[in-house]
This record gives sequence, structure tokens and C-alpha cells, in this order.
Amino acid sequence: MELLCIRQWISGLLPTVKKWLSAWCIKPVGGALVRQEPEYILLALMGSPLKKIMLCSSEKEIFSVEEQVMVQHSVIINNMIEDGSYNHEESKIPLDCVDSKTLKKVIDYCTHHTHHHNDNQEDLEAWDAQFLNVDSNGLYDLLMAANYLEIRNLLDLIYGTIKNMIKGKKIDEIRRIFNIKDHGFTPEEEEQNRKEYPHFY
Amino acid sequence: MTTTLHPAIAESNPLETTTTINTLSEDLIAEILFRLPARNLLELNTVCKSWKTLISNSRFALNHFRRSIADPTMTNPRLVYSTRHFVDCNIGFFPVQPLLENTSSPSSNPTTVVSFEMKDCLEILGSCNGLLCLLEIICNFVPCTGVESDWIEIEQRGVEVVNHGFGYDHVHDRYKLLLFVQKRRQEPKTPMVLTFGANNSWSTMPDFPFYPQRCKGEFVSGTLNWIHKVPVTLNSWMIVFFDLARESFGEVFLPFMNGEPVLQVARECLCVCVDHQKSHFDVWIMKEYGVEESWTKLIVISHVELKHYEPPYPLYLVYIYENGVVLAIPPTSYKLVLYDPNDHNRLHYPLFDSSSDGMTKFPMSERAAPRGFHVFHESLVSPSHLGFPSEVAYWN
Repeated sequence: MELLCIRQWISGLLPTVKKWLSAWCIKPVGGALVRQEPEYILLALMGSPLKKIMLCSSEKEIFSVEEQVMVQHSVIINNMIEDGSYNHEESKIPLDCVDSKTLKKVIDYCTHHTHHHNDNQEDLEAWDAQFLNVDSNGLYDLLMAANYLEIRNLLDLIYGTIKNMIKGKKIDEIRRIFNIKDHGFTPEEEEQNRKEYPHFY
Repeated sequence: MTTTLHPAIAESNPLETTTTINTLSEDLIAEILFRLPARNLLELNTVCKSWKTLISNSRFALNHFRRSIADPTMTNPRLVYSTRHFVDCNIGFFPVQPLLENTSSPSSNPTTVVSFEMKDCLEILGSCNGLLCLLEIICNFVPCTGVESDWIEIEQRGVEVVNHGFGYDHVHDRYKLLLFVQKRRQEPKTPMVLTFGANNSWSTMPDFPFYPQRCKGEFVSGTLNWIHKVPVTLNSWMIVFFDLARESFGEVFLPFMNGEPVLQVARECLCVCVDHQKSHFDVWIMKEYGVEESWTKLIVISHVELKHYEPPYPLYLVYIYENGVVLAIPPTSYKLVLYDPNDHNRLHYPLFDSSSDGMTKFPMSERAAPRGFHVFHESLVSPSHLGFPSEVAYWN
């Protein structure tokens, strides 16, 4: 059999062997024995690259990313792969509402969190903080992309950051942050609001 | 997953100073608002009309409460109490967290007292989803939003409310109150159900298989629960429940207990405290409602350890903190006890003393009357969501 066919055959068997392999998947890393994901071992044994998928941004730029990475994080992509609507050899996943810059950021996030999920909490949080060091448009685009792709932990991160931005702020600041130019209250209502929450104004 | 603002982001991030976020859709705004406590959200009502509509919505209030109930920083749990044995128009609130930190001196954490004019002898019937139901006639009061509904009269005149239970029917989205009323002692008790709403409707239950022996029904998971003695046995007890949605009854068996159990709710689970063979208390928790195998023994407290113990009264479990410490109340007392299962110096008596909190005292002596304690969580749920007349009573 050709090598390509063997690879495909073994990849097809992957789910069924995963379970019994997981008990044996121990590999030495830096002098310690570390449990390694079974797919990496199996495919490393075969010497082939990890399975990749293609994502296409709104600007028609193609990004190649490990399937495992996206499947772990994005519910949308996971569903597409599971229900078979994505064919590895031919197609790419079009993401018309995500531009290249944002897509690259999203892929960075997912890749980092997959490969570093064993890191300690502080390091991950520091990386997340650096990751969100973007301007306002960037944050908005990331939120839209994470929402579209249904990436739960990135969404939680962004919502948490926005929530912290508004906590303890005064009303003018909050209106500015959310670009609320017309609050919709009558002058009488505004007056009433001021009386109820004077410290907020 | 919770996220805190990392120091790196707070210091150097342009987000802190110059961000504006383009208009977000309502469900994304809702996701951000879900992560803020109810008190903050009341202020945010004033930001703009669309936010006010969102925050005042009853669905939003209920979803927000459900998402925040597990986190005490969001719901600010407090002990709420009345001196029900006395002519008193006040109820008091005291936060639960300072008790754990043992910093609860009256000056640093004063009890908040709310007065109801023209009312006597207020009793707290129950707390559910952030609503408090009070009895003089019947009123719904919400301390977070400060909205008080109109008082409702009990249909039957001249009766005494003997047993009660207040809870939420999630199937029909209604709050219900189950009352057993009695004209005189020894007469049969009449069960009635009040469904709160635009037309507060009373219904009577024709076939009632039991009469609860204890006063208050504990609300958990859409049911009101009471302890009941298994008929024709000496020492066997069970839990009878009233399903608020179906308005029907059922039973849950308890593990065999040598002594009458006392029912409480903590961490959204049913707990029982049993005075076991007159030497110690056992506290059990039912981790999954309705699953009898999920009864787990939580703590054992020996009588010798408890300073203020007065037999034959049981111990009431009130609250379980996140770290497993248990707050309990020896009855007929206004002192509390903290029990730490992880510490061999196990019992602590927090500096909580509500004797000088502004609640009415016994005349002729300055002693504080005993309290009936309940645990209250803040939420945005308001009697106005129930559809019947209510108004904001400013306090706090």
C-alpha cells in the first residue's frame, strides 16, 4: 500500500484507538514523563504532519491551521467537521465576516491555548492580557469573530475585559465607551435618574 | 470561567483610556451585563433607554439571577430576619461574608433595618429568586430594587397562618404561596394556594394527603418540602413535597435517622440536621434533588462542642460558604456558630450580635427578641414583573 493510503487508513482508525492508546501515551519531556495526546504520538510515529484545515478570510486570504486546534475551540468548526460538510482534500471554510487580521489573531489564540493548556494559570492570564492589547476596533472585531465562531473561552475573556472596563465608572464614561450618543431619556427622566443615583453621575 | 483584569492590561492598555466599542447588539450587551452584580445593574438602568428596557425585563432578571446564584460576590447573600414573636414592624439585613472573616462588629457592619409603617408582627414567609415574601397580610418585597408590592389580604377572615411555603414555579413562570390556615386550634387546617400575578388568584386544594408538622416549607427545585413522620412507625421520617407546577404531592425517603430531622436549604440543596442519639448532630445534604442515593453526610458536631446548646432543640443550618464552612443557629438564640470542617479548632462564634441593631426590644427589659433567620440573595427580580401593583419604596 502506498504511504498516503496507510496514513489515511490510520487516521480513520484514530477515534477507535484513541481510548486504549490514552492509557499508554507517556513520553519523556525534559527528564520527566509527561502524558501526551494520543493523536500526536500516533501521527508522530508515522512521521506525518498533523491534519490541517483551511480557513478563508473575508479578504480571500487562506490560513492553514491544525484541525485539532480549531475543533477544540470553535463550536461552529467542530460541527462542520463532525457532520462531514468539510472535505479535507478539497475545500476550505469561508469566513466572510472575519477579516485577515482578526482571523490571524483568533488562530493565534486557539493555537496558544491548545499547546499551552498545561501551563499555570498566571502565565496563561498574562498571555491573554497581552493578547488583548489591541485598539478598540480590534477588540470589536475579535468579539464579532469569537461570537460567530462560538469560541467560548475567548468570548468569556473579552466579555470579562469589557465588564471590568465599565465596573466602577461614571455614566458619562460608560456612554462614551459604548458610543451611546443619544440616551433616549426626556429631560425630566434624566433629572429623576440623577436624583436616584447621584454618585453615578 | 471567571476573568480578572491582569495588572499588565490595567497599566499599559489603551483600552482603559480610549476605547469606544461600536454599537453592540442586544444579546451581546446582555452577555456583558450578566457578569455584573444586581446592584450595579440598577445604576446602569440610567445609561440609556435600551439598556433600561433590557435590565427591567423579567426574563433578563431571572436569567441573571440563575447565572449569578453560585457566586456570592454577585448576589451578596445576607441573613434577613424578623422578631416574629413580638409586635415589630421591622426586618433586618446582615451580610453573611463578614461573619466568616470575624470582623462583624456592630460598628463596621451595621444591620440594615427596614421598617414597614402601620404594620405589626411581621413574619418572613420565605425568600425566592431575590424576592422576599412577608406576612402581616401578604406582601412581596424586594430589597435590592426596593420595590414593594401591594399588600394582599388572605381571603378567609380571622384565620391564623399555621404553615407556609413560598416558591417559584418555573414551568408556568409564576410565584406561588402555599398556606395552611386554621380558625382555631384543633380545627382542621385548610390549605390554600395563592398564585401571584395580575389577578392574584387563590385556589384551594381538595385532597391534601398530609398536614405539615413544621411551619415553613423549604423551597428547592420547584418544590416545597416538609419533614413528615412515616405513619405507624416510631422513628422513621420522610420528606413530603408539593410540586408547584403540577400542584401535586410526593415523597422522598431519608436515610434512616435516629431522631427527628430538621429540614433546611443551603447551596440550593436540601439539608437535614438530626440530633443523633442525644450526643451529637449529624448534618446531611441531598446533592441532587430527588435522588435518594445522593444523601451525603456533611458534618458531625458533638453536643459537648456547642456552648449554647439547649436540649431538646435542634440546630438550624443556615448557610454554607464556598470553602465549606457552615453557619448554623442554635434556636431561641440570636447568636450564630460557624463550623469549619477543615480546622480541628472547629467552632467559631462570630461577633454577630443583633441585640443592638435597631429592632424592637422586649419592653421592661432591653433584651432582644429571638429571631427567625432566612438567607436572602440579591437579584433584579421585582414584584412589578409579577404583574400586580407595586411601587418603589426608597431605602438604603
